[in-house]
Amino acid sequence: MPTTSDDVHDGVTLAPSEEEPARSKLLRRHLMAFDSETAVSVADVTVRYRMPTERINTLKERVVRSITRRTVAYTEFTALSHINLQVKRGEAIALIGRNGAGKSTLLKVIARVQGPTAGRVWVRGQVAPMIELGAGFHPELTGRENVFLNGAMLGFSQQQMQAKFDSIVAFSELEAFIDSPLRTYSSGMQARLGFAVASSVDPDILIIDEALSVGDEAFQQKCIQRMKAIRKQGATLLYVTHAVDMIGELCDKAALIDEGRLLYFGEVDKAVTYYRERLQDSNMNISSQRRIAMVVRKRR
Amino acid sequence: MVKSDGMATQLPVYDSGAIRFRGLFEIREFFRYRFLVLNLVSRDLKVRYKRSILGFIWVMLSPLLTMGVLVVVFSAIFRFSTPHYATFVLVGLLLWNVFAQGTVAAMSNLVGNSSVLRRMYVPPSVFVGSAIGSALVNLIFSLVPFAILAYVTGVQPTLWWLFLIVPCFLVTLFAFGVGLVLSSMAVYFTDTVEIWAVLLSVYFYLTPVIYPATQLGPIVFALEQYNPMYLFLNIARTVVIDGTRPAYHELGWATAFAIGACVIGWLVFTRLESRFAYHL
Repeated sequence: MPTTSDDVHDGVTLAPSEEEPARSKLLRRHLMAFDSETAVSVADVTVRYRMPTERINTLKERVVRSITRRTVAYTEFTALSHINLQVKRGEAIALIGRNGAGKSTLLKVIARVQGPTAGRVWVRGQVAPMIELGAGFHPELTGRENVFLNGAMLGFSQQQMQAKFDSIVAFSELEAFIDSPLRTYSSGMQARLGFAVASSVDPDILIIDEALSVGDEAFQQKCIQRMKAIRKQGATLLYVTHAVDMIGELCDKAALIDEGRLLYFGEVDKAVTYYRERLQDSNMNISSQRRIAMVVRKRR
Repeated sequence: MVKSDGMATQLPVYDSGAIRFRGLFEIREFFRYRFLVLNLVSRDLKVRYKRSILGFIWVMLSPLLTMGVLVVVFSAIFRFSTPHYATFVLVGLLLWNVFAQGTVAAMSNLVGNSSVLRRMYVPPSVFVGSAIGSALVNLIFSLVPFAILAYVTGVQPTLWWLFLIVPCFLVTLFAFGVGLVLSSMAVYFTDTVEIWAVLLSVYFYLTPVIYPATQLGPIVFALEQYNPMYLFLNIARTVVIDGTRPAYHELGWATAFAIGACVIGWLVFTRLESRFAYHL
Protein backbone atom coordinates (compact mmCIF):
# COMPACT_ATOMS: atom_id res chain seq x y z
CA MET A 1 0.00 0.00 0.00
CA PRO A 2 2.88 2.45 -0.25
CA THR A 3 2.55 5.58 -2.28
CA THR A 4 6.09 5.77 -3.46
CA SER A 5 7.13 6.85 -6.89
CA ASP A 6 6.86 3.35 -8.29
CA ASP A 7 3.28 2.99 -7.20
CA VAL A 8 1.49 2.12 -10.37
CA HIS A 9 -2.14 1.30 -10.11
CA ASP A 10 -3.35 -0.40 -13.25
CA GLY A 11 -1.11 1.54 -15.51
CA VAL A 12 -1.99 4.87 -13.97
CA THR A 13 1.24 6.25 -12.62
CA LEU A 14 0.76 8.44 -9.63
CA ALA A 15 2.97 11.44 -9.20
CA PRO A 16 5.40 10.79 -6.36
CA SER A 17 4.57 12.79 -3.30
CA GLU A 18 8.12 14.09 -3.04
CA GLU A 19 7.65 16.03 -6.24
CA GLU A 20 4.59 17.77 -4.94
CA PRO A 21 5.70 20.02 -2.14
CA ALA A 22 2.17 21.01 -1.17
CA ARG A 23 1.02 17.46 -0.77
CA SER A 24 4.17 16.43 0.97
CA LYS A 25 3.69 19.25 3.45
CA LEU A 26 0.14 18.14 4.04
CA LEU A 27 1.24 14.60 4.77
CA ARG A 28 3.87 15.84 7.17
CA ARG A 29 1.32 17.93 9.01
CA HIS A 30 -0.85 14.86 9.38
CA LEU A 31 2.05 12.84 10.67
CA MET A 32 2.85 15.51 13.26
CA ALA A 33 -0.78 15.64 14.31
CA PHE A 34 -0.95 11.90 14.73
CA ASP A 35 -0.19 11.97 18.44
CA SER A 36 -1.16 9.39 21.02
CA GLU A 37 -4.58 11.01 21.36
CA THR A 38 -5.46 10.47 17.70
CA ALA A 39 -6.98 7.17 16.68
CA VAL A 40 -7.34 7.64 12.95
CA SER A 41 -5.70 10.06 10.58
CA VAL A 42 -6.70 10.08 6.94
CA ALA A 43 -4.38 12.25 4.88
CA ASP A 44 -5.31 13.30 1.37
CA VAL A 45 -6.68 9.87 0.56
CA THR A 46 -7.84 9.12 -2.95
CA VAL A 47 -9.22 5.79 -4.10
CA ARG A 48 -9.64 5.27 -7.80
CA TYR A 49 -11.00 2.23 -9.54
CA ARG A 50 -10.44 1.39 -13.14
CA MET A 51 -13.42 0.02 -14.97
CA PRO A 52 -12.64 -1.23 -18.45
CA THR A 53 -15.29 -0.30 -20.97
CA GLU A 54 -14.53 -3.59 -22.66
CA ARG A 55 -13.91 -6.29 -20.19
CA ILE A 56 -10.38 -7.67 -20.33
CA ASN A 57 -9.65 -9.93 -17.47
CA THR A 58 -8.23 -12.91 -19.23
CA LEU A 59 -4.58 -13.53 -19.71
CA LYS A 60 -5.19 -14.67 -23.26
CA GLU A 61 -6.89 -11.41 -24.17
CA ARG A 62 -4.13 -9.41 -22.54
CA VAL A 63 -1.44 -11.25 -24.48
CA VAL A 64 -3.33 -10.91 -27.76
CA ARG A 65 -3.71 -7.18 -27.17
CA SER A 66 -0.07 -6.67 -26.35
CA ILE A 67 0.88 -8.41 -29.59
CA THR A 68 -1.60 -6.57 -31.80
CA ARG A 69 -0.92 -3.32 -29.88
CA ARG A 70 -4.56 -2.44 -29.69
CA THR A 71 -5.64 0.21 -27.25
CA VAL A 72 -7.57 -0.48 -24.12
CA ALA A 73 -10.24 2.01 -23.17
CA TYR A 74 -11.47 2.25 -19.66
CA THR A 75 -13.25 4.63 -17.38
CA GLU A 76 -11.81 5.69 -14.12
CA PHE A 77 -14.05 5.93 -11.12
CA THR A 78 -12.93 8.06 -8.23
CA ALA A 79 -14.53 6.53 -5.17
CA LEU A 80 -12.77 8.88 -2.77
CA SER A 81 -11.11 12.14 -3.62
CA HIS A 82 -8.59 13.89 -1.35
CA ILE A 83 -10.19 13.00 1.96
CA ASN A 84 -8.69 14.54 5.08
CA LEU A 85 -10.04 13.40 8.40
CA GLN A 86 -8.79 13.16 11.97
CA VAL A 87 -10.52 11.18 14.67
CA LYS A 88 -9.50 11.54 18.30
CA ARG A 89 -9.39 8.54 20.59
CA GLY A 90 -12.75 7.83 22.15
CA GLU A 91 -14.75 9.82 19.63
CA ALA A 92 -17.78 8.35 17.91
CA ILE A 93 -18.12 9.43 14.31
CA ALA A 94 -21.05 8.79 12.03
CA LEU A 95 -20.41 8.70 8.31
CA ILE A 96 -23.45 9.72 6.31
CA GLY A 97 -24.09 10.21 2.64
CA ARG A 98 -26.07 8.89 -0.28
CA ASN A 99 -25.65 5.42 -1.73
CA GLY A 100 -22.33 5.13 -3.51
CA ALA A 101 -20.97 8.26 -1.88
CA GLY A 102 -17.81 6.46 -0.77
CA LYS A 103 -18.60 5.82 2.91
CA SER A 104 -17.89 2.12 2.79
CA THR A 105 -14.73 2.65 0.76
CA LEU A 106 -13.46 5.02 3.43
CA LEU A 107 -14.18 2.44 6.12
CA LYS A 108 -12.31 -0.18 4.11
CA VAL A 109 -9.28 2.06 3.77
CA ILE A 110 -9.28 2.66 7.53
CA ALA A 111 -9.80 -1.05 8.24
CA ARG A 112 -6.79 -1.70 5.94
CA VAL A 113 -8.87 -3.93 3.70
CA GLN A 114 -7.53 -1.94 0.80
CA GLY A 115 -4.75 0.56 0.48
CA PRO A 116 -5.42 4.06 -0.82
CA THR A 117 -4.52 4.79 -4.42
CA ALA A 118 -2.91 7.98 -3.15
CA GLY A 119 -2.53 9.55 0.24
CA ARG A 120 -1.83 7.95 3.56
CA VAL A 121 -3.68 6.49 6.50
CA TRP A 122 -2.62 6.08 10.12
CA VAL A 123 -4.64 3.95 12.52
CA ARG A 124 -3.76 3.39 16.16
CA GLY A 125 -4.87 0.23 17.92
CA GLN A 126 -6.79 -2.99 17.38
CA VAL A 127 -9.57 -2.59 14.83
CA ALA A 128 -12.79 -4.59 14.96
CA PRO A 129 -14.25 -4.47 11.47
CA MET A 130 -17.96 -5.10 11.18
CA ILE A 131 -18.18 -4.36 7.51
CA GLU A 132 -20.24 -7.45 6.92
CA LEU A 133 -20.94 -9.82 9.75
CA GLY A 134 -19.95 -13.42 9.38
CA ALA A 135 -17.56 -12.94 6.46
CA GLY A 136 -15.59 -16.16 6.32
CA PHE A 137 -18.18 -18.32 8.04
CA HIS A 138 -18.33 -21.79 6.56
CA PRO A 139 -21.77 -23.41 6.27
CA GLU A 140 -20.57 -26.97 6.88
CA LEU A 141 -18.74 -26.17 10.11
CA THR A 142 -20.50 -25.94 13.46
CA GLY A 143 -21.06 -22.65 15.21
CA ARG A 144 -18.25 -23.54 17.60
CA GLU A 145 -15.76 -24.25 14.82
CA ASN A 146 -16.77 -21.07 13.04
CA VAL A 147 -16.14 -19.00 16.16
CA PHE A 148 -12.55 -20.24 16.28
CA LEU A 149 -12.05 -19.83 12.53
CA ASN A 150 -13.46 -16.30 12.57
CA GLY A 151 -11.36 -15.48 15.62
CA ALA A 152 -8.24 -16.65 13.77
CA MET A 153 -9.16 -14.36 10.89
CA LEU A 154 -9.18 -11.50 13.38
CA GLY A 155 -5.68 -12.55 14.44
CA PHE A 156 -6.41 -14.53 17.60
CA SER A 157 -4.94 -17.86 18.61
CA GLN A 158 -6.87 -20.93 19.71
CA GLN A 159 -6.13 -20.23 23.38
CA GLN A 160 -7.15 -16.59 23.16
CA MET A 161 -10.45 -17.61 21.59
CA GLN A 162 -10.94 -20.33 24.20
CA ALA A 163 -10.91 -17.62 26.85
CA LYS A 164 -13.53 -15.58 25.02
CA PHE A 165 -15.64 -18.49 23.85
CA ASP A 166 -18.19 -18.70 26.68
CA SER A 167 -18.98 -15.00 26.65
CA ILE A 168 -19.33 -15.07 22.85
CA VAL A 169 -21.86 -17.89 23.00
CA ALA A 170 -23.70 -16.29 25.89
CA PHE A 171 -23.98 -13.00 24.03
CA SER A 172 -25.21 -14.63 20.84
CA GLU A 173 -27.81 -16.65 22.81
CA LEU A 174 -27.03 -19.69 20.67
CA GLU A 175 -26.05 -22.16 23.41
CA ALA A 176 -28.46 -24.79 22.13
CA PHE A 177 -27.23 -24.60 18.53
CA ILE A 178 -23.53 -24.03 18.92
CA ASP A 179 -22.62 -27.57 17.84
CA SER A 180 -24.93 -27.62 14.82
CA PRO A 181 -23.60 -26.82 11.36
CA LEU A 182 -23.95 -23.20 10.39
CA ARG A 183 -26.11 -24.07 7.38
CA THR A 184 -28.92 -24.91 9.82
CA TYR A 185 -28.83 -21.35 11.23
CA SER A 186 -31.20 -18.62 10.14
CA SER A 187 -29.60 -15.47 8.74
CA GLY A 188 -30.44 -13.67 11.96
CA MET A 189 -28.69 -16.35 14.01
CA GLN A 190 -25.61 -16.10 11.79
CA ALA A 191 -25.55 -12.34 12.21
CA ARG A 192 -25.82 -12.72 15.98
CA LEU A 193 -22.87 -15.06 16.06
CA GLY A 194 -20.93 -12.75 13.74
CA PHE A 195 -21.57 -9.72 15.91
CA ALA A 196 -20.70 -11.66 19.06
CA VAL A 197 -17.31 -12.70 17.65
CA ALA A 198 -16.47 -9.35 16.08
CA SER A 199 -17.33 -7.38 19.20
CA SER A 200 -15.49 -9.74 21.54
CA VAL A 201 -12.04 -8.65 20.46
CA ASP A 202 -11.81 -5.75 22.93
CA PRO A 203 -11.18 -3.28 20.12
CA ASP A 204 -9.66 0.16 20.27
CA ILE A 205 -11.53 1.10 17.12
CA LEU A 206 -14.90 -0.26 16.16
CA ILE A 207 -15.87 0.04 12.51
CA ILE A 208 -19.49 -0.62 11.73
CA ASP A 209 -21.05 -0.57 8.29
CA GLU A 210 -24.78 -0.87 8.74
CA ALA A 211 -24.17 -4.19 10.41
CA LEU A 212 -26.94 -3.59 12.88
CA SER A 213 -29.71 -3.72 10.35
CA VAL A 214 -29.95 -7.46 10.98
CA GLY A 215 -31.64 -9.36 13.74
CA ASP A 216 -34.79 -8.52 15.59
CA GLU A 217 -35.31 -5.38 17.63
CA ALA A 218 -34.33 -6.99 20.91
CA PHE A 219 -31.00 -8.06 19.49
CA GLN A 220 -30.44 -4.67 17.88
CA GLN A 221 -30.92 -3.07 21.27
CA LYS A 222 -28.44 -5.54 22.72
CA CYS A 223 -25.93 -4.65 20.03
CA ILE A 224 -26.32 -0.96 20.75
CA GLN A 225 -25.79 -1.65 24.46
CA ARG A 226 -22.63 -3.61 23.63
CA MET A 227 -21.39 -0.77 21.42
CA LYS A 228 -21.98 1.72 24.21
CA ALA A 229 -20.11 -0.53 26.62
CA ILE A 230 -17.17 -0.77 24.24
CA ARG A 231 -17.22 3.01 23.88
CA LYS A 232 -17.20 3.44 27.67
CA GLN A 233 -13.91 1.55 27.72
CA GLY A 234 -12.47 4.33 25.60
CA ALA A 235 -12.85 2.82 22.16
CA THR A 236 -13.28 4.91 19.04
CA LEU A 237 -16.34 4.31 16.87
CA LEU A 238 -16.77 4.80 13.15
CA TYR A 239 -20.31 4.16 12.10
CA VAL A 240 -21.86 4.18 8.63
CA THR A 241 -25.60 4.45 8.56
CA HIS A 242 -28.58 5.75 6.66
CA ALA A 243 -30.73 5.94 9.77
CA VAL A 244 -29.76 9.55 10.40
CA ASP A 245 -32.31 9.98 13.18
CA MET A 246 -30.50 7.47 15.34
CA ILE A 247 -26.96 8.79 15.13
CA GLY A 248 -27.41 11.51 17.73
CA GLU A 249 -27.85 8.79 20.32
CA LEU A 250 -24.52 7.13 19.57
CA CYS A 251 -22.23 9.65 17.91
CA ASP A 252 -20.57 12.92 18.89
CA LYS A 253 -19.67 14.01 15.39
CA ALA A 254 -20.74 13.28 11.85
CA ALA A 255 -19.00 13.38 8.50
CA LEU A 256 -20.99 14.02 5.35
CA ILE A 257 -19.55 12.41 2.26
CA ASP A 258 -20.89 12.98 -1.20
CA GLU A 259 -19.50 11.92 -4.55
CA GLY A 260 -16.26 10.86 -2.93
CA ARG A 261 -15.64 14.19 -1.21
CA LEU A 262 -15.82 15.10 2.42
CA LEU A 263 -18.36 17.94 2.45
CA TYR A 264 -18.70 18.50 6.16
CA PHE A 265 -17.19 17.17 9.36
CA GLY A 266 -18.50 18.38 12.66
CA GLU A 267 -21.74 18.64 14.57
CA VAL A 268 -24.24 15.87 14.02
CA ASP A 269 -27.23 18.19 13.58
CA LYS A 270 -25.56 20.31 10.92
CA ALA A 271 -24.30 17.27 9.05
CA VAL A 272 -27.80 15.81 9.00
CA THR A 273 -29.29 19.07 7.76
CA TYR A 274 -26.75 19.31 4.94
CA TYR A 275 -27.36 15.67 4.12
CA ARG A 276 -31.10 16.24 3.78
CA GLU A 277 -30.51 19.29 1.55
CA ARG A 278 -28.19 17.19 -0.54
CA LEU A 279 -30.81 14.49 -0.90
CA GLN A 280 -33.38 17.01 -2.19
CA ASP A 281 -30.92 18.52 -4.64
CA SER A 282 -30.07 15.12 -6.01
CA ASN A 283 -33.72 14.42 -6.70
CA MET A 284 -33.78 17.32 -9.13
CA ASN A 285 -30.45 16.76 -10.73
CA ILE A 286 -29.50 13.16 -11.18
CA SER A 287 -26.12 13.61 -12.78
CA SER A 288 -23.32 12.37 -10.62
CA GLN A 289 -20.94 11.65 -13.42
CA ARG A 290 -18.27 13.97 -12.14
CA ARG A 291 -16.23 11.19 -10.68
CA ILE A 292 -16.07 9.17 -13.86
CA ALA A 293 -13.35 10.06 -16.31
CA MET A 294 -12.72 8.39 -19.62
CA VAL A 295 -9.15 7.28 -20.01
CA VAL A 296 -7.76 5.71 -23.13
CA ARG A 297 -4.38 4.23 -22.81
CA LYS A 298 -2.18 2.37 -25.18
CA ARG A 299 -0.78 -0.75 -23.67
CA ARG A 300 2.62 -1.83 -24.75
CA MET B 1 -11.18 -1.54 32.27
CA VAL B 2 -10.58 1.96 31.05
CA LYS B 3 -7.70 2.29 28.69
CA SER B 4 -5.24 4.70 30.23
CA ASP B 5 -3.26 7.26 28.30
CA GLY B 6 -0.06 5.45 29.08
CA MET B 7 -1.20 2.51 27.01
CA ALA B 8 -1.90 4.61 23.97
CA THR B 9 1.72 4.82 22.94
CA GLN B 10 2.01 1.03 23.03
CA LEU B 11 -0.92 0.42 20.71
CA PRO B 12 -0.02 -1.02 17.33
CA VAL B 13 -0.08 1.58 14.58
CA TYR B 14 -1.03 0.86 11.02
CA ASP B 15 0.55 3.28 8.60
CA SER B 16 -0.39 2.72 4.97
CA GLY B 17 2.73 4.53 3.80
CA ALA B 18 5.23 2.80 6.07
CA ILE B 19 5.40 -0.51 4.25
CA ARG B 20 8.57 -0.12 2.26
CA PHE B 21 9.45 -3.76 1.73
CA ARG B 22 6.21 -5.57 1.25
CA GLY B 23 7.98 -8.93 0.95
CA LEU B 24 9.46 -8.68 4.44
CA PHE B 25 6.33 -7.15 5.92
CA GLU B 26 4.18 -9.98 4.61
CA ILE B 27 6.49 -12.59 6.17
CA ARG B 28 5.84 -11.03 9.57
CA GLU B 29 2.11 -10.87 8.94
CA PHE B 30 2.03 -14.49 7.74
CA PHE B 31 3.73 -15.53 10.96
CA ARG B 32 1.34 -13.44 13.05
CA TYR B 33 -1.61 -15.20 11.38
CA ARG B 34 -0.11 -18.71 11.59
CA PHE B 35 -3.12 -19.80 13.69
CA LEU B 36 -5.34 -18.91 10.78
CA VAL B 37 -3.28 -21.11 8.44
CA LEU B 38 -3.67 -24.06 10.83
CA ASN B 39 -7.37 -23.30 11.24
CA LEU B 40 -7.93 -23.19 7.48
CA VAL B 41 -6.10 -26.49 6.97
CA SER B 42 -8.20 -28.19 9.62
CA ARG B 43 -11.31 -26.59 8.13
CA ASP B 44 -10.46 -28.17 4.77
CA LEU B 45 -10.07 -31.58 6.37
CA LYS B 46 -13.21 -31.30 8.47
CA VAL B 47 -15.38 -30.11 5.62
CA ARG B 48 -14.18 -32.89 3.36
CA TYR B 49 -15.02 -35.71 5.70
CA LYS B 50 -17.83 -34.19 7.73
CA ARG B 51 -20.82 -35.70 6.03
CA SER B 52 -19.38 -39.18 5.54
CA ILE B 53 -20.12 -42.05 7.89
CA LEU B 54 -16.54 -43.25 8.10
CA GLY B 55 -15.35 -39.72 8.83
CA PHE B 56 -11.65 -39.43 9.40
CA ILE B 57 -11.00 -43.08 8.57
CA TRP B 58 -11.37 -41.90 4.99
CA VAL B 59 -8.21 -39.86 5.34
CA MET B 60 -6.24 -43.12 5.33
CA LEU B 61 -8.68 -45.39 3.57
CA SER B 62 -9.26 -43.38 0.42
CA PRO B 63 -5.56 -43.08 -0.54
CA LEU B 64 -5.14 -46.81 0.29
CA LEU B 65 -7.98 -47.74 -2.06
CA THR B 66 -6.79 -45.37 -4.79
CA MET B 67 -3.28 -46.70 -4.52
CA GLY B 68 -4.54 -50.29 -4.50
CA VAL B 69 -6.31 -49.66 -7.80
CA LEU B 70 -3.22 -47.98 -9.25
CA VAL B 71 -0.99 -50.86 -8.24
CA VAL B 72 -3.27 -53.34 -9.97
CA VAL B 73 -3.79 -51.24 -13.09
CA PHE B 74 -0.24 -50.11 -13.63
CA SER B 75 1.41 -53.44 -12.95
CA ALA B 76 -1.05 -55.15 -15.29
CA ILE B 77 -0.97 -52.70 -18.20
CA PHE B 78 2.44 -51.10 -18.30
CA ARG B 79 5.22 -53.61 -18.26
CA PHE B 80 8.35 -51.57 -17.91
CA SER B 81 11.37 -53.48 -16.75
CA THR B 82 11.61 -51.20 -13.69
CA PRO B 83 11.93 -53.14 -10.45
CA HIS B 84 9.07 -52.53 -7.99
CA TYR B 85 7.10 -50.68 -10.63
CA ALA B 86 4.00 -50.30 -8.41
CA THR B 87 5.96 -48.53 -5.68
CA PHE B 88 7.74 -46.51 -8.34
CA VAL B 89 4.43 -45.17 -9.64
CA LEU B 90 2.97 -44.56 -6.18
CA VAL B 91 5.91 -42.44 -5.03
CA GLY B 92 5.64 -40.44 -8.22
CA LEU B 93 1.92 -39.85 -7.94
CA LEU B 94 2.04 -39.01 -4.24
CA LEU B 95 4.58 -36.23 -4.74
CA TRP B 96 3.00 -35.11 -8.00
CA ASN B 97 -0.37 -34.75 -6.28
CA VAL B 98 1.09 -32.40 -3.68
CA PHE B 99 2.23 -30.16 -6.50
CA ALA B 100 -0.90 -30.49 -8.67
CA GLN B 101 -3.49 -30.29 -5.88
CA GLY B 102 -1.56 -27.63 -4.01
CA THR B 103 -1.16 -25.21 -6.90
CA VAL B 104 -4.77 -25.62 -8.08
CA ALA B 105 -6.11 -25.21 -4.53
CA ALA B 106 -3.91 -22.15 -4.02
CA MET B 107 -5.72 -20.37 -6.84
CA SER B 108 -9.23 -21.42 -5.83
CA ASN B 109 -8.52 -20.69 -2.16
CA LEU B 110 -7.35 -17.14 -2.75
CA VAL B 111 -10.09 -16.24 -5.23
CA GLY B 112 -12.73 -18.20 -3.28
CA ASN B 113 -12.00 -16.25 -0.12
CA SER B 114 -12.44 -12.91 -1.83
CA SER B 115 -15.49 -12.29 0.38
CA VAL B 116 -13.17 -12.33 3.38
CA LEU B 117 -10.45 -10.24 1.75
CA ARG B 118 -12.95 -7.59 0.72
CA ARG B 119 -14.31 -7.19 4.23
CA MET B 120 -11.52 -7.58 6.72
CA TYR B 121 -7.77 -7.40 6.88
CA VAL B 122 -6.12 -10.81 6.55
CA PRO B 123 -2.72 -11.26 4.93
CA PRO B 124 -3.69 -12.89 1.60
CA SER B 125 -0.71 -15.24 1.64
CA VAL B 126 -2.35 -17.30 4.39
CA PHE B 127 -4.86 -18.62 1.86
CA VAL B 128 -2.06 -19.88 -0.37
CA GLY B 129 -0.26 -21.27 2.64
CA SER B 130 -3.33 -23.15 3.81
CA ALA B 131 -3.95 -24.64 0.35
CA ILE B 132 -0.41 -26.02 0.25
CA GLY B 133 -0.72 -27.07 3.89
CA SER B 134 -3.81 -29.13 3.08
CA ALA B 135 -1.99 -30.85 0.23
CA LEU B 136 0.90 -31.63 2.59
CA VAL B 137 -1.44 -33.04 5.24
CA ASN B 138 -3.02 -35.29 2.62
CA LEU B 139 0.44 -36.51 1.66
CA ILE B 140 1.36 -37.23 5.27
CA PHE B 141 -1.82 -39.25 5.78
CA SER B 142 -1.11 -41.17 2.57
CA LEU B 143 2.41 -42.12 3.66
CA VAL B 144 1.17 -44.79 6.08
CA PRO B 145 -0.91 -46.76 3.55
CA PHE B 146 1.90 -46.17 1.06
CA ALA B 147 4.48 -47.76 3.36
CA ILE B 148 2.17 -50.74 3.86
CA LEU B 149 1.68 -51.21 0.11
CA ALA B 150 5.39 -50.82 -0.61
CA TYR B 151 6.20 -53.49 1.96
CA VAL B 152 3.46 -55.81 0.72
CA THR B 153 4.69 -55.55 -2.89
CA GLY B 154 8.15 -56.60 -1.78
CA VAL B 155 10.26 -53.45 -1.24
CA GLN B 156 12.77 -53.95 1.57
CA PRO B 157 12.28 -51.29 4.29
CA THR B 158 15.45 -49.45 5.27
CA LEU B 159 16.28 -46.49 7.48
CA TRP B 160 16.58 -44.42 4.30
CA TRP B 161 12.75 -44.44 4.18
CA LEU B 162 12.86 -41.74 6.84
CA PHE B 163 14.76 -39.56 4.38
CA LEU B 164 11.53 -39.40 2.36
CA ILE B 165 10.65 -36.38 4.52
CA VAL B 166 13.21 -34.31 2.59
CA PRO B 167 11.72 -34.65 -0.93
CA CYS B 168 8.22 -34.24 0.57
CA PHE B 169 9.32 -30.99 2.18
CA LEU B 170 11.05 -29.78 -0.98
CA VAL B 171 8.05 -30.48 -3.21
CA THR B 172 5.85 -28.60 -0.73
CA LEU B 173 8.13 -25.57 -0.86
CA PHE B 174 8.18 -25.73 -4.64
CA ALA B 175 4.37 -25.98 -4.80
CA PHE B 176 4.11 -23.00 -2.44
CA GLY B 177 6.31 -20.87 -4.68
CA VAL B 178 4.47 -21.82 -7.87
CA GLY B 179 1.11 -21.49 -6.08
CA LEU B 180 1.97 -17.93 -5.01
CA VAL B 181 2.67 -16.85 -8.58
CA LEU B 182 -0.39 -18.59 -10.01
CA SER B 183 -2.84 -17.40 -7.36
CA SER B 184 -1.78 -13.77 -7.64
CA MET B 185 -2.20 -14.02 -11.42
CA ALA B 186 -5.60 -15.68 -10.98
CA VAL B 187 -6.82 -12.56 -9.15
CA TYR B 188 -6.14 -10.46 -12.23
CA PHE B 189 -6.90 -12.98 -14.96
CA THR B 190 -9.75 -15.41 -14.52
CA ASP B 191 -8.49 -17.82 -17.17
CA THR B 192 -5.29 -18.55 -15.25
CA VAL B 193 -7.07 -21.57 -13.76
CA GLU B 194 -7.88 -23.08 -17.17
CA ILE B 195 -4.47 -22.31 -18.65
CA TRP B 196 -2.78 -23.92 -15.68
CA ALA B 197 -4.94 -27.05 -15.99
CA VAL B 198 -3.63 -27.53 -19.53
CA LEU B 199 -0.02 -26.74 -18.64
CA LEU B 200 -0.21 -29.05 -15.67
CA SER B 201 -1.20 -32.06 -17.77
CA VAL B 202 1.52 -31.28 -20.30
CA TYR B 203 4.03 -31.08 -17.45
CA PHE B 204 2.71 -34.36 -16.04
CA TYR B 205 3.53 -36.28 -19.21
CA LEU B 206 6.86 -34.51 -19.67
CA THR B 207 7.91 -35.60 -16.20
CA PRO B 208 8.71 -39.28 -15.63
CA VAL B 209 5.89 -39.86 -13.15
CA ILE B 210 4.31 -43.03 -14.52
CA TYR B 211 7.16 -44.10 -16.78
CA PRO B 212 10.85 -44.53 -15.96
CA ALA B 213 13.21 -41.76 -17.11
CA THR B 214 15.37 -44.34 -18.86
CA GLN B 215 12.61 -44.65 -21.47
CA LEU B 216 13.52 -41.19 -22.70
CA GLY B 217 16.21 -40.48 -25.24
CA PRO B 218 19.62 -39.31 -23.98
CA ILE B 219 18.97 -35.65 -24.76
CA VAL B 220 15.63 -35.48 -22.99
CA PHE B 221 17.07 -37.50 -20.12
CA ALA B 222 19.85 -34.95 -19.73
CA LEU B 223 17.26 -32.16 -19.71
CA GLU B 224 15.25 -33.90 -17.00
CA GLN B 225 18.16 -33.25 -14.62
CA TYR B 226 16.95 -29.64 -14.57
CA ASN B 227 13.27 -30.50 -14.12
CA PRO B 228 12.50 -29.80 -10.46
CA MET B 229 9.63 -32.28 -10.24
CA TYR B 230 11.81 -35.05 -11.72
CA LEU B 231 14.51 -34.31 -9.14
CA PHE B 232 12.07 -34.52 -6.21
CA LEU B 233 10.63 -37.77 -7.57
CA ASN B 234 14.01 -39.30 -8.24
CA ILE B 235 15.31 -38.51 -4.76
CA ALA B 236 12.21 -40.07 -3.22
CA ARG B 237 12.50 -43.17 -5.40
CA THR B 238 16.19 -43.60 -4.64
CA VAL B 239 15.63 -43.64 -0.89
CA VAL B 240 12.49 -45.79 -0.96
CA ILE B 241 13.16 -48.36 -3.66
CA ASP B 242 16.96 -48.55 -3.78
CA GLY B 243 17.38 -47.81 -0.11
CA THR B 244 20.50 -45.76 -0.78
CA ARG B 245 21.69 -42.19 -0.45
CA PRO B 246 20.48 -39.86 -3.23
CA ALA B 247 23.12 -38.09 -5.34
CA TYR B 248 24.41 -34.88 -3.79
CA HIS B 249 24.11 -32.88 -6.99
CA GLU B 250 20.43 -33.89 -7.28
CA LEU B 251 19.79 -32.83 -3.70
CA GLY B 252 21.56 -29.56 -4.34
CA TRP B 253 19.60 -28.71 -7.46
CA ALA B 254 16.30 -29.81 -5.89
CA THR B 255 16.87 -27.58 -2.87
CA ALA B 256 17.88 -24.67 -5.08
CA PHE B 257 14.73 -25.04 -7.21
CA ALA B 258 12.46 -25.31 -4.17
CA ILE B 259 13.91 -22.28 -2.40
CA GLY B 260 14.21 -20.31 -5.64
CA ALA B 261 10.53 -20.92 -6.44
CA CYS B 262 9.56 -19.75 -2.96
CA VAL B 263 11.59 -16.56 -3.15
CA ILE B 264 10.35 -15.66 -6.63
CA GLY B 265 6.76 -16.57 -5.73
CA TRP B 266 6.88 -14.50 -2.58
CA LEU B 267 8.26 -11.46 -4.41
CA VAL B 268 5.68 -11.69 -7.20
CA PHE B 269 2.81 -12.24 -4.78
CA THR B 270 3.70 -9.42 -2.43
CA ARG B 271 4.25 -7.08 -5.37
CA LEU B 272 0.77 -7.77 -6.74
CA GLU B 273 -1.17 -8.14 -3.49
CA SER B 274 -1.52 -4.45 -2.64
CA ARG B 275 -4.04 -4.18 -5.48
CA PHE B 276 -5.91 -7.42 -4.75
CA ALA B 277 -8.75 -5.57 -3.06
CA TYR B 278 -9.33 -3.60 -6.25
CA HIS B 279 -9.70 -6.74 -8.37
CA LEU B 280 -11.21 -9.45 -6.19
